[in-house]
Amino acid sequence: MRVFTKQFKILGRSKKLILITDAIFIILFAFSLSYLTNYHIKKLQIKPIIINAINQISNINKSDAETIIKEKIETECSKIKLNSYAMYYNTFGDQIGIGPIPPIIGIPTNYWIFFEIESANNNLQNIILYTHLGKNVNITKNKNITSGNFTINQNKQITWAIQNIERNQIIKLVFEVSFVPDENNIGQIASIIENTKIVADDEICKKQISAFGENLDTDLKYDIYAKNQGMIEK
Amino acid sequence: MHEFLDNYKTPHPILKKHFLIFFMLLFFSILIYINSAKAQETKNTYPKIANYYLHHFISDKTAEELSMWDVIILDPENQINNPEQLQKIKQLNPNIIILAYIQIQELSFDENNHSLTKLREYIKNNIDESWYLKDKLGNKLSFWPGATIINITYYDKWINFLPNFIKTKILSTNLWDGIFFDNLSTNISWFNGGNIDIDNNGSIDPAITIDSLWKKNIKTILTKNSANNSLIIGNSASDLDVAHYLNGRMFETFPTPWEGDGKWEDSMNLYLKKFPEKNIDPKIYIINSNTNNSGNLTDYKKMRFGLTSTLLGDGYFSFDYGDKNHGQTWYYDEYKTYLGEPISNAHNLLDPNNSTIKPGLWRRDFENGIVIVNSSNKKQRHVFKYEIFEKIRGQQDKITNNGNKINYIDIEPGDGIVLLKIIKEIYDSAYKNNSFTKIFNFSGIEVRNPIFHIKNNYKINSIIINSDIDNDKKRETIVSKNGLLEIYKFGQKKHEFHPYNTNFKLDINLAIGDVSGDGMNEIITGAGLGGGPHIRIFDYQGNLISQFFAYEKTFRGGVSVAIGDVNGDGMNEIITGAIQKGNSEIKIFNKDLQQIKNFFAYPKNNNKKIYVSVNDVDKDDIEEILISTTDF
Repeated sequence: MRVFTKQFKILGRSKKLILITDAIFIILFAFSLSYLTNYHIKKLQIKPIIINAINQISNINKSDAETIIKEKIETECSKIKLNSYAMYYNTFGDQIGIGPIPPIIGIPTNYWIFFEIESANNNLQNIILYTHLGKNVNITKNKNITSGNFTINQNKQITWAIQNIERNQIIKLVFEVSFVPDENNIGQIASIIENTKIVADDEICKKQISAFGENLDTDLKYDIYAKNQGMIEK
Repeated sequence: MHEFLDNYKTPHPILKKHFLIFFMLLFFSILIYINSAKAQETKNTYPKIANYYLHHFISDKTAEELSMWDVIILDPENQINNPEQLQKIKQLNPNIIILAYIQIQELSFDENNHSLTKLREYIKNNIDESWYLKDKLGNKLSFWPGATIINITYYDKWINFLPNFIKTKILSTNLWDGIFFDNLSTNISWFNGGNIDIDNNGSIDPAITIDSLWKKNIKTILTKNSANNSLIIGNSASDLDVAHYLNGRMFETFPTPWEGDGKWEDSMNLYLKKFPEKNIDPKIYIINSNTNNSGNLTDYKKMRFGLTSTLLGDGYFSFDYGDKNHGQTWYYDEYKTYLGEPISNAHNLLDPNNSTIKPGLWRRDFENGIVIVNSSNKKQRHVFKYEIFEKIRGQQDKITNNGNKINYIDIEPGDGIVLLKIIKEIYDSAYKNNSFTKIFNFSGIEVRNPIFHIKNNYKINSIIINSDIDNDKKRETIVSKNGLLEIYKFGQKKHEFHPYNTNFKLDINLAIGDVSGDGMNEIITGAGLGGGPHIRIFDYQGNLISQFFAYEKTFRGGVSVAIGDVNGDGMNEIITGAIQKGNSEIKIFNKDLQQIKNFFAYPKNNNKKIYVSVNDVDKDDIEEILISTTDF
């Protein structure tokens, strides 16, 4: 730092200004990029740029620069990957749902709902997933929960609470729902799962993080054998 | 004899009493013998099928095919032309009922083609021209081309000849279980516009006279045949007055056109209600649907309508070309289902509290499934409120029998359907809780819709098997946990042992069954995920009997095991599944631990973890192979 200060004092005024501006620009550019890309890209691409920039400006110790970057990156919060889909057939074409597709009023059609949670980079704790069942949708007794506590209240809000998820671990919640359309659903695609949100405590950044899940409907966009057959019939 | 009678005339009281008791016992013994000899056992599981096969010759192949039926009606010429085929059919199916086709009031004889009709030739040569039925001009009469009507009232000739012929020429061969009388009609005046000269005097006789004589003589023939102690079935036998001579009847070209108005409900009323009240046991009814001589064997809707109508009662179903050619071995997907025994009577879903046989949507329940038939004149939709059924996985009508699980059904008028109950539980084979299970036969073909094993009172992914391992006819519970096997009986732990060494803490997959064929069950283990493909076989106390490697020794994806007779050879095979090998490979080993078959449960290059078990889901005494995964 002393060397940097000494050398900096030697420079002319205009050159000082240019260097300062360059340094600020580079640093700002680097950190703004960190909000648009994921953590790993940041580590790979920005770190050498920053180090190089600081070295250019000040010739400070390279390892000191690396330490600064490392500390900065490793306190970043994780991303939660939340995949959700409704299926009538599994990916091999086996029938897992029951009932008519397209759905028919007055007759139950059962679908299976899949939630998959993965923590992108940090261990997570106190994970809670909230979701709602759509109108005329109810849960059956069939479910497959790899971990956590699953509840549903009288407002048809589902809560899935998991104690912890390790980095890169995937946990799944699978359950069956039954949809019985009424006269008001004729000619429409109906909602099965809506307003899905997940919150969790990031162990590293010590903050609560969250993500939103996709709404699922009777059109079953992820079911290659049953998709686009979601419009309710009489 | 005189002394005997003298003693009996002036009897000692005790002696007389002894003779009385003796003769009573003798009488009842004879009665019991008669009834037991005639009380042939009939099949009590469904569907029951019959074949009306009237060719004069049966090939080897046809004999094998015919043995798949439960009742067959054959031309008796076969007893001369190829008796060995009748014996072969009985050997292949000892429970089959074989009836000899007899024309009760006709003779069909072709002068130009009699080499295969020696019995008919015998009849022709032993009856007189005067025996034939004629009009007032002396012309012989005929219902059917090539068949001449016999005047069964002519001087008791025929009513003595025919029963004796049946007894001495047909039943004496011991190749037949009974007689099928075709055209069993108790009246004849309706024929030929009434132009019938019953007494050969050149004039038409009154209808009442003709029919009275006709019916009397029919009864005589049937009475005389009853003494033969064999089954008697009649075709066109609509007269309830003679029903008590018969074990049943055929409804040809169902719904039979000459019953009532030829409607469904007319035939069904007779089949379900009227005749069972009168016929004698064992009752045998044959519903014969056919293609009306079109030969359209793929008219599956017509076949289903006849079959499901038959299944509303306890009869046998037959489907063939038509009355111009009864002689096919068409075999349908529905015939192979095993519905088991009936657990309800037929009832009308459109009018549940009304048992009147009428057009409607009719249902009958069986142990393993149901049948529904739409005899109304419009399409019907029925929603199963709390039930789920499975359609047959057919190879013929794949649209109707697509194997889907359903909770409602649409049925067109004049159609019916056979549905199976879904499989809810597996016994005597291990399974992983919270798994999705596919069901295969020995050839690796999926035979049923996959099922879910979700038991909320057991831990997720635990391996459980309920089976009798010590042959005391009570099931033990074996639990696999952390490398240890624990055996519980009535909730108490009886044994525990480590199938592999004590450091082995992974899952153990297991099966129970008699591998060696010595009548004692063994415990077969496979190492779970992370372990090698080492299969070990123990007795029920944990003593090692034998072992082998099912896959390459370096494989560490774990192996699942099952045991059962999956190929119908009477011996159990060991079935293994590589739990996570990337290809869902299934192998089958015989009792000598040699591989005899392999197939892949899912497309190759999948990463599913799979577990095998076995169960006879279709109750054909051959186990199917169930492949479970928790990753569905």
